Amino acid sequence: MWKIEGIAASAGIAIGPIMHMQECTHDFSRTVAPQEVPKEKERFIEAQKVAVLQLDALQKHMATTVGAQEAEVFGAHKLMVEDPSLMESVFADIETNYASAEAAVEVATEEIATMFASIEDEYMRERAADIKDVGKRLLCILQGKVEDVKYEGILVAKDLLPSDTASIDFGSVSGFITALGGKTSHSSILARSAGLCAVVGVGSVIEKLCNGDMVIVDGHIGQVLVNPEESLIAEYRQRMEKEKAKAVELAHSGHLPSVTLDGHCIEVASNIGTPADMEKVIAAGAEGVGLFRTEFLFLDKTTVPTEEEQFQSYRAVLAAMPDKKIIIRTLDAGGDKQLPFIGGLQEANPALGLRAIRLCMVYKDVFKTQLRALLRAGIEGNLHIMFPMIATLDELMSAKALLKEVADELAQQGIVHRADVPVGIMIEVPSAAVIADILAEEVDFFSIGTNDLVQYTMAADRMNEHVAWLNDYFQPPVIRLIANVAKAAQQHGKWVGMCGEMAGDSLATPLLVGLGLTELSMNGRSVPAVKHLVRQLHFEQAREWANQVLTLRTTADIKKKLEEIATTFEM
Amino acid sequence: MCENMEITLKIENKAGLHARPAALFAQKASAFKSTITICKDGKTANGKSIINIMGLGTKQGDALLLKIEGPDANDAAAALQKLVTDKFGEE
Repeated sequence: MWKIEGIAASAGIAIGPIMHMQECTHDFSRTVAPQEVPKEKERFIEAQKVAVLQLDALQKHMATTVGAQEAEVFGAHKLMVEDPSLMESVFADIETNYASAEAAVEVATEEIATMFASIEDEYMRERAADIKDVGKRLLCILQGKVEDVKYEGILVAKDLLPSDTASIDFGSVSGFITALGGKTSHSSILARSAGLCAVVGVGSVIEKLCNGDMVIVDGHIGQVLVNPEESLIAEYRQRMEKEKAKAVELAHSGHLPSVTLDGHCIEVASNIGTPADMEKVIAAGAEGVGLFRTEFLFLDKTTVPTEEEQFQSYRAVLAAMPDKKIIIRTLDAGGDKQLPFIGGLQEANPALGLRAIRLCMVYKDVFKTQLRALLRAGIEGNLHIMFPMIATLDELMSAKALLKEVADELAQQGIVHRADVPVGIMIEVPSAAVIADILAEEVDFFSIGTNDLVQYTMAADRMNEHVAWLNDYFQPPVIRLIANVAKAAQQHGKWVGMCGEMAGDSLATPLLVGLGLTELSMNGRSVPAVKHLVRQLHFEQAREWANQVLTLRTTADIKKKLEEIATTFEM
Repeated sequence: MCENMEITLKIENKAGLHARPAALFAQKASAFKSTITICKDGKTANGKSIINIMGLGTKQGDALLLKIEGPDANDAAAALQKLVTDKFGEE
């Protein structure tokens, strides 16, 4: 038996034989005999046909499962597969250089990708990934790789890309191991939302694994045991069964209230991305929406969504939970979420650039349309508006002034709306956490967004696996900022919630409750576990623990303490 | 019968010739028999190729020269002009 260490990306235990994801190789003969030229051209045309069929099926599948918007990308891929200029380059390479179809496709798509990458436009540069994806698909087909391999057991891959996850059926997969990636990379997020256990970022060691090798994937601690003894498998199997039984029990308890043993109420809410998510989070037992990301209305669109379109989406969410608090965050675009209709901005550091509220205050017409739609929808339920990325008091005041302007205009026009919607801000820039006492006077609530707060406080890109150890919400400076925000809010009689990844981590729950947070908003899957934990807490005890944690000096000490605390509960 | 056409189009939609407008342009152009060439800043592109069109990096406000040759050049010019003046159905 031997061990692989990696990043614990999604909790749980999975046991089974591994299966490598099929990837096409670059190991093919690059040239053919002159008399093979017609055959190679024919092979390319056949591959084109297969690719179009695959993409058609993918597009239909995505349209029904995710949405027509998201599926459009595969329509563009189809056009690229059949593109006359791609065909021209491929044929020319085959005819003049006696290239094999594989080599010609590889060269041509690489050339196009390089050309896209050189365009002075962020959005277009990213399209280089699309043509590469198309090239990969054609190569796989030419090499006779089957697209719809049935994966079972533990999937091992270099990385999982969006196009992989859209086409792989995870029905029989119980966990996965990837060479690349960190806790917040695409594959990790996918694992958590699908409830699969995952260990990521293990490096090139995956090459030493052979198909069929028996492994135990421990997603709690980020460890993989390869070819373990029978006794160990039996032991883990028992643990796994217990966890599964627990999960079923937990899911049934989702609708029980989340009140501590001494009567302190904690609202356990859910984060959503589209109105369609409401059904799932209500079923999970969420007591409201702590974060509705409105970006889905804007991304991948070449035009600004109309006021009416936005109004309908906001109203749908409010109507699904009319008596619960629904926090809708205004457009958080820019950075890694570029808006096509605004055009590519040339920024060396997009995460530190013109994004979220900063972008909205520049594109005021876009922002005002959203605010109008929000205030109009506000009559339907308990709407709360939240501004993202506020860093200064001035920003908050101008955003509020704009909201007031919109409300006045609606009143003048005699349009039904709600003018006194509570307004809060997301605390995700360290500057806002530091001046929380100043900001608290001007808001109704704070919601702490840990994902960005951690990345900015620690100066560590959350997508960069080389600095993954810094990207930890249990870092003492992050905990201190959270404590500072909570204290400032309490002094001004305002409430504080959290809507980042940390809110759904039950290891953090006693600490967050103890610091005085009264609302925790998370992925629907985490709701039952966090509620279950809240019901076992004593608020006074949690406060004492929080004070102890604030004195600790390292992340390791903090985690150790929280793990000790966790052992006193039934998780 | 063979027609030859040259028209200049100004791209007015906000996104320029990004993926979706480029796709619409190529699809529309492919419906005609004529050859359609786009010229911009000394670069030429096959008007039926989404890849070529995207490669031009056309932004809002850019002007394109279209050279159309073939039996249905007039119809093609009218259809493509309409697509561009309608801002590809945006707004």
